[in-house]
Amino acid sequence: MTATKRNLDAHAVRDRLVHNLTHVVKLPDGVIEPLLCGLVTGGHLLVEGIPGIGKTLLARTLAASIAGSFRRVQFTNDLMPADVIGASVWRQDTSQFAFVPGPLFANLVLADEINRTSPRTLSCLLEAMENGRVSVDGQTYELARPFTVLATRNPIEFHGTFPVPEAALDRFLIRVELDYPAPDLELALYTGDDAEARLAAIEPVMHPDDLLDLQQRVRTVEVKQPVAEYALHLVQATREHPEVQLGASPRAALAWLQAARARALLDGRDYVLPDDLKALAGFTLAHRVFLHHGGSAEQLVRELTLATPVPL
Amino acid sequence: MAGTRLTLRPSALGTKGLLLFAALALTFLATNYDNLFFLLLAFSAVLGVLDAFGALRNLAGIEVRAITVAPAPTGSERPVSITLAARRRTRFALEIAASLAGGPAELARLDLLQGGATAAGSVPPQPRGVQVLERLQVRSRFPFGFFVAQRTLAGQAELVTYPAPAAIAHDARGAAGVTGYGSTPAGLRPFRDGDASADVHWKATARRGSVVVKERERDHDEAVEIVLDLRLRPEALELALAQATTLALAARHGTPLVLHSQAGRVRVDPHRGGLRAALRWLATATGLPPDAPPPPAPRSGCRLPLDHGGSR
Amino acid sequence: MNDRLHPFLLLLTLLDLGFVHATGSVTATALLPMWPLALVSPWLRRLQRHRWYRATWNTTVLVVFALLVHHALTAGLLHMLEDGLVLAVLCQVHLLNNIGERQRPDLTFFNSFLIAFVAVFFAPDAWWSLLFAAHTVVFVPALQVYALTRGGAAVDRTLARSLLRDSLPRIAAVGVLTALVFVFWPRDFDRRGLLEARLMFGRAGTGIAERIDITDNQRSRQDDAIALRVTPIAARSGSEQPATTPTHWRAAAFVRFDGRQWHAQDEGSFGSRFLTDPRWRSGPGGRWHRPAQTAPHTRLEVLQFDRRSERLLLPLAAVAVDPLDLRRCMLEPQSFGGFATLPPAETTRGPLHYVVALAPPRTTHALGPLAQRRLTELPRGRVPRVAFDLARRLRAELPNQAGRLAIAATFATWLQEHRRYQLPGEAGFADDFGEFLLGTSAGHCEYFATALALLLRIEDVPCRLVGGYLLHEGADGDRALVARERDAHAWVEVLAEDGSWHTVDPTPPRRSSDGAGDAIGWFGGLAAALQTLWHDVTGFDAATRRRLANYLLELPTHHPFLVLLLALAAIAAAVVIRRRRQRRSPEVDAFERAVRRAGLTRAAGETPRELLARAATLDLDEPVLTRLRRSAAEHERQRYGR
Repeated sequence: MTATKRNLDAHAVRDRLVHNLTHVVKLPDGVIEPLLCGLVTGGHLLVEGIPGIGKTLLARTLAASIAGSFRRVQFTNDLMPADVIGASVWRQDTSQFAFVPGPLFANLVLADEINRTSPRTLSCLLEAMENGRVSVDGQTYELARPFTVLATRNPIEFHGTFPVPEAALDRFLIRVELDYPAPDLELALYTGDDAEARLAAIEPVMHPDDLLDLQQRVRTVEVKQPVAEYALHLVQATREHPEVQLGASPRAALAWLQAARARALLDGRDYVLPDDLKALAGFTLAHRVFLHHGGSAEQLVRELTLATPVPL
Repeated sequence: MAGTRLTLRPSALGTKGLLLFAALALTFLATNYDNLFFLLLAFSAVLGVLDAFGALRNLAGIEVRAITVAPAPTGSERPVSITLAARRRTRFALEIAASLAGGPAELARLDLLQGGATAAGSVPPQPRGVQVLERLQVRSRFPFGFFVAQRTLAGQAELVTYPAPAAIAHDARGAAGVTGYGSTPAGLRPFRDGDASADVHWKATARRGSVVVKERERDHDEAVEIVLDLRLRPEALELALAQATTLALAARHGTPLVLHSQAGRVRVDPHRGGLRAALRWLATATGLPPDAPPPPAPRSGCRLPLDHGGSR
Repeated sequence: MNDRLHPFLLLLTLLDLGFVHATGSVTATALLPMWPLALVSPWLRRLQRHRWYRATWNTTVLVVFALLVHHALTAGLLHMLEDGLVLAVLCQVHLLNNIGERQRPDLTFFNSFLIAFVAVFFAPDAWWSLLFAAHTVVFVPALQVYALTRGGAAVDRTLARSLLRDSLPRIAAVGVLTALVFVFWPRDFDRRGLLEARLMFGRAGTGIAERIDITDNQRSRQDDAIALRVTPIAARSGSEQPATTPTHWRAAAFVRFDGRQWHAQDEGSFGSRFLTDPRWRSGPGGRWHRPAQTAPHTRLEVLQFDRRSERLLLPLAAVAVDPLDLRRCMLEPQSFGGFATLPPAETTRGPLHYVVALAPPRTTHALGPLAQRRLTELPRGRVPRVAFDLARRLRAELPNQAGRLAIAATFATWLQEHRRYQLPGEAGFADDFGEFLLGTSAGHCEYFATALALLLRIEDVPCRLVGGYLLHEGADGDRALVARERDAHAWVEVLAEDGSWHTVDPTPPRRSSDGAGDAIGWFGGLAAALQTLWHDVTGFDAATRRRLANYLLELPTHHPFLVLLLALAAIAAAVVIRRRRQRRSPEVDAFERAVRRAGLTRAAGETPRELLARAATLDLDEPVLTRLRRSAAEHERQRYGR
């Protein structure tokens, strides 16, 4: 199936994307939705999980589904910024410096194990993620559009890792945690086709331009007053909680609302429901809230979504 | 949130006031008609009616926006913060109470509520366990104090009361940290339920006449494993849980800890958190009859309760 | 404990002191130490942690209490009120200085209320009402602050400001509602208190008593209850003149004056030996009559509501009484020419109904020397010096041979012209009779009558004081005349040389005294207008209400435009209020109703869709579920959707 034309049915797009992802990567349902919301919002994704549970495969599947280009960067402690964004090289034939784009120039970039690289390289990546362009030798190069970074972080502490600063985490719209697949899914993994074959079998759901179009349409999704109030109340609650050192910022709240818009769009609605916000609160807010004793704020955010009244 | 019940009863001051009013009315009837006397009666009646009206209005339209309460050990108070919201009018002198397992408790007090405000207070010591706080009573004797109006509001919060940590003898703590899954043998010990047959040291077994197993050293990043057999007498169970709490709290800053019991497995990690889940687990643990199955123990691990001052 | 509450309590205490002052029954010197003690309480009360401070206060209160009890027991029950009020304000000041952890402010509020309540009996209405209005303004926010601080709130500046802002509409509501209830509640001016109806406590009240105490200035009150109603019976054919109704209706006559009290003529069965008026004789059918100089020229039908005086109200010229309905009372003739009613009033109820025939009564025989002496007796050493001077001076202006009536008329006219009339409790009222005689202060009818009687007796003119009612208010389109309780009056009767009694009233005409005639400039005019207004308010009875209702009912026909305008204004106001309130949308209400009907409660963080999902898992009736779904969808569309 070829990529569909403009004004494609967002609901149908979601169904096919979900189908592709579950077919190839065998991901649990709860994880796919936030990833898709992040993709459709145009934000960047952070996946945490132990190696070998299909993060790369996930990224490749996503890239294949949007028929876009895909590059992978393995972050190591000796990786230099130029290795990521590219460098100017001397061309003998033209007697000029020519820019050789790095792996960042793709629609979907898998940044593997970002906590293994030096802060310098990491900040370079973050800057590119934020601006959508890179500057080399005073020359600015636009990155591909759409541009989504899917970064992974290994939660188990190894030697030679660097902490990822709080500001860096804020750059990621969605953070999901991958665990071992459920036994039945894992069994299906062992018995079915091999991953490459499954990946080859999937059909692109849309063209990168379609994704850009969807990202445009996300902005038109309506957030009514009661829904915005709900978001405000919950964000305020994270700030007032005694266990919290640093509550969710207004930027976090905006990102959250944006992701909720995407979820509404993928659900075929042109307005956001409190349900959208509730579903995405853990994935968009938890990594932006820092507790006094360290550890994950996911549980706390979940409790707050249960406790915060939904305005009628 | 829709309030379920709104009640009004006279306060001590109100009862006295009512008696005075009755005396006034009697005197009024007993003496000849007097205009100004009647003014006084009208005044006190109006005062009473307006107070009842004002007390009800003071509580109308209040909703609980969030209740945040941290887990706390038995026997100690814990801070609670309750965010209330009310439209339009300013509200005064709100007392927030709840019926808990440890009896009715005054939680917090809010003197002024304009729009939204958070009341900070404390929860009195509670017995071990997890209580779900579904209803809050908001009380007020504002404006004139003749009546106490009370409104029951829906709220959602979980009160996790874990066992108070118990001191562990230094040598016992050492014993808990020694063994693990490493490759270096650490020593021998008698066989316990759940030990793998591969670990049996046959030579020593033959020598001693009882089954002896090998213990190994723990790798530096490996979690300490604690086995909690729930088939204990109640007081022994409480002691074991208290010791497990000590270890879980310590694990927040040091070595990761995994708790095993018949009820499942929970892990506390300095980096990935898990303390909340562990405390919840400890709060809900209940004893099992002696004929219940043993806990699924790992190959090596420490059992609770630890010997404590030589007594078991 | 609560410094924010203390200023309010201080204000309340100061107002209480004002109330007690306004009653006028407590001398200013007794209250003098209270004012500074109240005013320094913000500083003084800080000492309350010391035992000696509390002990001193408690001892002081106990000692004062003992002193007051002693005073009340020795000085007579009349001082009970004075002593009680002093004790009450002292307690209030004591509380004010000792409010803290041990002493809660509850009692201060109640005591303040009680003082206001007791003061209502004695203070002049207008003063009391002014103080009460100020009292309300303080009382309401004080209660609010108290309600807030008793929970232990630290009232900071923000909270205090919000609280005061909140209390303003409340004060207004309390004030307006109280005033409305006060004005529009149905009144029964003829109602008598249970105590009075059941027990025999009636004599200390208003109206005419057994004796008149001129030093007791608190008795005269503005009671609007009707005491007497007189309707002239159409004169017989042939009578050429319309009947004139006498204005002075007598209840009792007083002969002996002890410098302080006038004692009734019949006190101690004195009357039988001291007959001053023609004797009444009973006739057939309960009729009473006495000899007259001419045939009766006028007949009056009388309804007497005042039963407390236990006297039949009659004019001096009554010569025959025809009972119509005396409520099973018997009449007992009195030596002064009136009747006592038996048995006492409390055993029978309702007005006495009778007809009086008028004619000049026949004169009595010349009185003996004993009676002469009684009627000219002066209290030894109790007559102010100024009275003698005044009598001599006035007498000197008359010829030596001037008759008693001429002397009485001159003296009365002089008093009317040179002494001011005022009711007790009003500004300028004399503190004692001497002041009135001197002319430095004003007085009421008892002062005028006493003054005239004393002046006449100094000049050896036999006279007596008479208590009764002044009948001057027209009713029923002037077909009848009524006297109210506040028209209780005292005047003088002079025995002429021919043995006939004549009414001499030295009191200036009432209307001219409290009307604009005496008013000094605009302030007086304003005061008079306010007085009239206040009288209208307190006199608002069933008839007035009926008139008001009629007026309102007729308003649409008389002023249709005004009514239309008012209606439009009301509608506009309602619309504005509705807009401002931003009513909750009907979808929310409908959804909440549907949830309630399904027997569900929405949890705190539950969205409508989650609630629907939960409802679907429950065993609910299909129609209920359908309604829930429909209302949820509508709610979502309206509230969350475009």
